[in-house]
Amino acid sequence: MKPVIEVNNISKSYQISHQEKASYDTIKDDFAKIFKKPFGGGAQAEQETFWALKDINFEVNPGEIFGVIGKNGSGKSTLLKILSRIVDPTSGDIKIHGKVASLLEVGTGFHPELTGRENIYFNGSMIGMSKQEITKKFDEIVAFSEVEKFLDTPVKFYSSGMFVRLAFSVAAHLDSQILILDEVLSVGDAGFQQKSLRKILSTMEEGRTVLFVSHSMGAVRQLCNRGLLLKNGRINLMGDVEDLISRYMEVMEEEAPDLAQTVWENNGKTTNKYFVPNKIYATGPDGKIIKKSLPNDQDHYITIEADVKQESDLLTIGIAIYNEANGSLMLMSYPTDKPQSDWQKLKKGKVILRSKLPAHLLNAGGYKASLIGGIHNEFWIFEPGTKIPSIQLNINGGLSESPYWKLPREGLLAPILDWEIENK
Amino acid sequence: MRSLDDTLVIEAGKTNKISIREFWLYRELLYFFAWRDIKVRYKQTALGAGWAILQPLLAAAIFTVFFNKVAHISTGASNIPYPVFAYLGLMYWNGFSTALLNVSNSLLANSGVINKVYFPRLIPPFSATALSIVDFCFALAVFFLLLVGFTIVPGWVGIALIIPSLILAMVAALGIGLVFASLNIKYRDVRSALPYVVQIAFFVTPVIYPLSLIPQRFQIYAFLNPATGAISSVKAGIFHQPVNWVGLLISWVSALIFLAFGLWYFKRSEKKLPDYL
Repeated sequence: MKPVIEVNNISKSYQISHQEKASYDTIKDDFAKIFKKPFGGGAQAEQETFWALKDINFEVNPGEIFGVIGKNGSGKSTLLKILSRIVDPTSGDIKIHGKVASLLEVGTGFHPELTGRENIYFNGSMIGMSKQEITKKFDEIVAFSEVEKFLDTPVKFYSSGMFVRLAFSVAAHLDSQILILDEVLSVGDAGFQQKSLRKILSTMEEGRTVLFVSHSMGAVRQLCNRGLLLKNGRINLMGDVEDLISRYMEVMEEEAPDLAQTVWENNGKTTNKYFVPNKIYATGPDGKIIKKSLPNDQDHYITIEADVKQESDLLTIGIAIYNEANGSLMLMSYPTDKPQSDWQKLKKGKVILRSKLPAHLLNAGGYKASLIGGIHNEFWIFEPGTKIPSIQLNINGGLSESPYWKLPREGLLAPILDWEIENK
Repeated sequence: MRSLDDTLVIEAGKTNKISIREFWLYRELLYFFAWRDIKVRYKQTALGAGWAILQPLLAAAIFTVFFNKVAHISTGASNIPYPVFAYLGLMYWNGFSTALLNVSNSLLANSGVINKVYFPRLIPPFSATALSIVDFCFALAVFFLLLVGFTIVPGWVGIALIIPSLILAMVAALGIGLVFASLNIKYRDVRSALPYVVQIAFFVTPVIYPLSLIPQRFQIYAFLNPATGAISSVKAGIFHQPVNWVGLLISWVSALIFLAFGLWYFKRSEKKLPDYL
């Protein structure tokens, strides 16, 4: 089959100036340049060429939903803008066979003073619908948007929800053989998004081709079967969407910054009569200190090296784990949580406490493990919620072996529960 | 791209010719831009179309008091009442100057959509003249009432020149405005400087004084300013005076040169637009 989109050797470069400067010039600046370097040329010395895209080649077949993924700054938006003819490529060419429309945002050109009705017309014509087409689909758009009652009210009086719904409705009724779609689908309320998505996809059966640019892996998996992964302006991988997503996860992991505090060491300021911690860290099953993150299918070992200064049967030392995103306390754990017969004594001198945080317990995300403890029923030495020795943990990937559960879900925990199914 | 069902080719460094065919395909969008500007303008102001009439009317009243009565600037002929004379000039000047300002700001004002959707970038500047034309029509209706009120019978040459002179003023405003619109993107000073330029231009154009106030041998140069040709020829025609046809021709040539230069300059800067917006 003949491809409908052919992208040949597309590159885009920008000249970046190393001066701190506004994005626009003032006449004064340019005059100043002329006076400083009356014979020109010299100004180029401070410029550097930055390749936002380099040697991009791909083809999209008719009826395909092709995904373009990559993290921020990978060149996704530049590619999208070139395909939409908003910016010009520096080299290369693109051929698009058929009527094409681009949706880089919903509600382009919406004016607050205009009514819902007027905005449908203006926005519709902005994104490439003819007046006749809008008139024909007008009732459908209005019914879809669920804002019938406010059709003749200026949109400045709309709630943000109504505004987005109306904007989506126009976009969802756009007809074209080829659609270039940005992450417009990731705004607004989830229910309405799904409705719009279904509406856009329903036209797919008529052989529409979609190029979908996103960093929402969920949407890409749901929509696309093939695509490409951009990294630093180049194609890192092209092919099956599942492969792209796992590579994307790897790329994110490689480039993730080291955790700020993976090891806590006593600088001499943390001291008391009973239990002085020296070092706290987390290791994987291999015993190596975790610097970045660990997948969820491996056990974490949280290790506390300390000096016991005074023995006491009441001395209880443990850990608390907090969710970094919302600060909620996930759990507290002590060696003395087991029956008393199994307790091990903390003897005076050097001790190492090691706690196993089992695999498949917490959901993916960032956590804080803090030292807690005190003299049981009497006082805290390390009181939760105060400034206590802590380290950072990060759980990423390894959620399950299931093809249906590769991306993080909502929820604080991510255990794999047992299920029994009785067929009757 | 609408109804353009054949192959679209995006090529690096393709020379940017002005495609009349493409412009024609997008004619509906041109209409929608103009329609939006007019709707918004008449909704935002309490007086709506009233402004289009009040502006030249009040200005004519003020100039009548200060220029005519105090400074004794006349209309150049005893049988022409100064208020009507000034109103006619101001009506055209307002059309020209607001079109110039709107065209100059059209890219900046539409930067939101320019960054998100493709359409010929010439559409916002072209549609920006529409508002001035609508305003002009309201003001023109009042002008006819003034003629009745002052019992003036207009010359037929003048009546015939009303529309061509408006077109002349719009062509000039568009040509000059296109240059400013491109400059405006690169140099934000333009936006602040432009109102002063327009103000100075007002006094060097025979809007509220007759062309005869300019010494005979300089008059021909005054016509290099297209607004001079537009305004002085309509005035002469309406008030039964001889029209300076050579001057009018010079103004037309000048306006068309402005337009050609404006289009060329705009096209040249067009591709750099997204980098600055």
